[in-house]
Amino acid sequence: MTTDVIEQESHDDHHDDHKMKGIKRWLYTTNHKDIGTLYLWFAFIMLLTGGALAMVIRAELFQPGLQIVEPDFFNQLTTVHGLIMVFGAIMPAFTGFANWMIPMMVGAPDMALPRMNNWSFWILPFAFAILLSTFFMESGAPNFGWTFYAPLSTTYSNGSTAFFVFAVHIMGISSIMGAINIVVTIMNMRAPGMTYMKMPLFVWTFFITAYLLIAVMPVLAGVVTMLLTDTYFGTSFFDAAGGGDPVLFQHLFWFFGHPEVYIMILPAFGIVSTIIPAFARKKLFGYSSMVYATASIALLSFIVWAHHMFTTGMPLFGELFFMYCTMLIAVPTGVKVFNWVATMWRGSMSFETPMLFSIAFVILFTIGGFSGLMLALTPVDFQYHDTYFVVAHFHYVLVTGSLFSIYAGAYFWLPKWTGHMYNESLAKWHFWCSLVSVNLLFFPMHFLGLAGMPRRIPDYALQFADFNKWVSIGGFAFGLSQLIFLAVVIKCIRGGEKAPAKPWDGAEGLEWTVASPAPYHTFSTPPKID
Amino acid sequence: MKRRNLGWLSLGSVLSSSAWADMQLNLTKGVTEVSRDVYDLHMLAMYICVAIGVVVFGAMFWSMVFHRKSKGAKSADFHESTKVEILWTAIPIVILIAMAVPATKTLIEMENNDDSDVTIQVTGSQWKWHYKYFDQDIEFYSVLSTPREQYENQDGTTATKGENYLLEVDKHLVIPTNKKVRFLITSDDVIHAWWVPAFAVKQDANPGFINEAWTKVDKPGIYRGQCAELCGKDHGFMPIVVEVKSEADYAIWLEEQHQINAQAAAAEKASLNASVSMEELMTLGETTYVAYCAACHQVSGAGLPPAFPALKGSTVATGDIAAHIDIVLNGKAGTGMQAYGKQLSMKQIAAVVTYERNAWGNNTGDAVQAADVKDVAKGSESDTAAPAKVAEVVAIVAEEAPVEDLTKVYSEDELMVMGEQVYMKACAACHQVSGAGLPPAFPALKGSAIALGDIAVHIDMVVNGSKKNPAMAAFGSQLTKTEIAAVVTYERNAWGNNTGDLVQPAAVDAASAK
Repeated sequence: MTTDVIEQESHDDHHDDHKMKGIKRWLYTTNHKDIGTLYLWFAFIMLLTGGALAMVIRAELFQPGLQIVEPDFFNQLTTVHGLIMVFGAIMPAFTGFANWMIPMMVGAPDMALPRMNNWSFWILPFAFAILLSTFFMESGAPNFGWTFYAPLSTTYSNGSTAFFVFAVHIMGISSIMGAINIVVTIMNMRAPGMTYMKMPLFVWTFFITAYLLIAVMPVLAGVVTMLLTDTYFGTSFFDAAGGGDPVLFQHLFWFFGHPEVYIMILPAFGIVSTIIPAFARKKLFGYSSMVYATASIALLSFIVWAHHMFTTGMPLFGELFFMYCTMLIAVPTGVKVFNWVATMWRGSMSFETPMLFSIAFVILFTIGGFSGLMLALTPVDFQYHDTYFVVAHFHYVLVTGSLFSIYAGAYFWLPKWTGHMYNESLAKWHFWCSLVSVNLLFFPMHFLGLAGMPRRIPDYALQFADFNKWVSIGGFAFGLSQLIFLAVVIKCIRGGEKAPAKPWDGAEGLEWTVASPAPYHTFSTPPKID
Repeated sequence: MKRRNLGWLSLGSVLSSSAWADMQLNLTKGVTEVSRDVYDLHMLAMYICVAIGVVVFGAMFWSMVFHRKSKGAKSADFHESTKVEILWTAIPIVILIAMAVPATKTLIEMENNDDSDVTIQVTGSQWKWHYKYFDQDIEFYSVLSTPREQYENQDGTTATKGENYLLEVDKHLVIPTNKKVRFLITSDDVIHAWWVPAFAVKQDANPGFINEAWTKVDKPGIYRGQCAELCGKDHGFMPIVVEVKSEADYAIWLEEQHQINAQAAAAEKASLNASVSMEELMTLGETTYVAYCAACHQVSGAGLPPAFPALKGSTVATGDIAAHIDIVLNGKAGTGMQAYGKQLSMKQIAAVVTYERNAWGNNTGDAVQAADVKDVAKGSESDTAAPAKVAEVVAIVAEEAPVEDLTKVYSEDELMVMGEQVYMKACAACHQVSGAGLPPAFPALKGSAIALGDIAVHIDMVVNGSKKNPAMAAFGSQLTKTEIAAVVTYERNAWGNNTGDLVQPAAVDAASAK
């Protein structure tokens, strides 16, 4: 193994890697590692932007009364916060991981469609520039919630709908291109001998996620286009006065929206399934059942969309169908959690930062799963729906779920990306500050929702005051804690202990057979898999 | 050490900042059978989740403590077991079934909207609720009554907030105890959701569609809720307050409302002849403006452009008076500007128009009287209002056939042509031209048991209305017997309901004589 690495390194030294200098390197790049880096930085910038919006929201909600913002601006904040975090932070971060890791994990020299790869990244900053520019227009930013229910987003919108629709179209095009690239790469560029069932689970989860994206992004594009023509061209898809139906909007939106939440969690499963075995020094328990569970979650995600719509006036049969299907998702999800626990069981564990984030992921994501199961029960959903209980639920799965897995993955592969070890004690500070503050931020939201606080309100009744204060304090602390991560990453890029090719003794996979930092071009000749 | 003390002190101040005893951690049990079932289901689900959590997290922590490398743990080799996988697929399925059974039972009960005693139409609009009691001629708007200075603290003011801050309204919805109250929920503009946690009722109010929900409360009291679906700027400021009264008190309340209605009608009439002083108009105008207009157009009259234009110096408020009154009365289509004709009295409209024309330096000097509003209202009615037209048609029909010949036998063609006209006029608004209705509130007639079944039951339904569903009015006094005969014939033979039955006026006369 060691000799391999040295050979590879010296081999690379002999060749010019043809990369341009300065800004042109990044603008014109078709290299999967460069594009992965771009995606990851973009996602982090968006995370801080969306986080800043959330801080203003929490500042307004710190105490009863309207102190800082007007109600309409408050709605703009919640809308853009949601859009940025979903489409700007979590999804691009995962695409960044896919770009960096999939070619190296399957032994391919690059992504299958490198020029498209460049384009699918570089249209993203324009999409978000359009979206954010609405804050500086007379109309203001979109104020109808990230779910943009008609007719609030059509007849009654503030004039930002066109910009919003255009931005979403661009994000959708970017996602579809990224997904096609992942599918083509995995299907065609695996090293000889790497059968599907020998692929790392990480690759499997991205493979399935990419299919979900290709299936549902066109639905989103369709629904925003209908929104556009309803608003500006006199159609009535969602207007009862013209023969349309506002609930049709919700069906179309959630047919995209529910698979979308799995688009944001399946890759997290892949990352965590890579990290836990590495630090438990034990093979992943039930690899094939993990693959099947991921696939069944993906399939089920297409037939549960209306559980977001129990209060819209569905017939009893519809409510029962969507309740049963939704409950069914708990089964494959449970299998995954049990497999992770079984992987840890009788392992030889150590607790470096990637492992800490992964373990926190398993526990906190499971808590989000529990509240998800409760939400699936239609009769009680009538009480939980559109309250802070739901806000708590999806932040547990998206922040302590998806985002924590992204941090786990970032710490895990930082040595491979930068060639340096990150500062472990600073990283542990990041973990512990995040863990405490994130729970202070989101756990009391369960209580607020059960006590009856609706979501998306800029001011609240007095009985909600105490918890909101705690939640806001948690929010500020969590937001500030993320700056520690920025410090860790910058330090790690600029220097630090030199990382060996394989810094984690329990890690497995082809990416650890190349030097750290990974050379600009890897696997120009495919590796042999036995 | 000192630092730590400070930390504890500040934590302590957060903890003690208000009474702990008032803090609600869990779902309300509520005051209906359904809400208690929902609460039980919630607790069942939560205990199951906690139990699973204890087992799973327990195993994780056990292995984190005992299977760590620093303790010299050597990793085992196992990584697959089909037996175990099947086991932890099967056990969750059993647990899920245990939860699905009670959930299904409760859900079926919640969705049973039949046999209600009282029906109330609930209409959401930006940002207030409108309640209309069927068969009682009582309707009113219910608007947030928390004073603006309590929540608008941007300038640093901190007016003391009342006990029911943001959860209080000017007029409560009143319902009786121990009666099944059915709500028909809809909206005038965007989607709202009507939610009262104590009843476990939450239903979306969709514009153009009607949703149903019901409750049967066993404890008198005041129960508070809020709009639960984002509906624009003041989504957080449209609470719901339901006052549940004993049956006797409810009857008294109904009587009071009828008296108030009569008084209001008399006052409205009187105001048409009265000339109100400018000063009085401005005072009433200001209070009305703050309550109804300031949410969008702002107390300063500066509005929130572009969605909510300024009134200060605007062409509407300084231009033609009639146009100004018209926009307040009838709203402006395609914008957030609602029609206030139904919400405010003519005197209030006159006052608010006067106020808008003279406040904030709009010194037009115009004083608008209720009679001026009446003139504009009349003008717009003649070309748009449908009820007036229907009344005219009815009058014309009545003139043409002053005496009804109940013995006359009509041909099938005659009955069907007449029946179709009557159906379009009196029935199609709810049951639709296609006969498909708007279920569940307005059932389909096409292929329905009523239209295909016993003729006498069908006639009775049209003449006397439905006992179960108050939305089905009694048409005995609204239509002639000939018209009823025709419409029943039409309903029994249109849309493929080919029963071949011909109903003659004599049959209707016989049925309604019973």
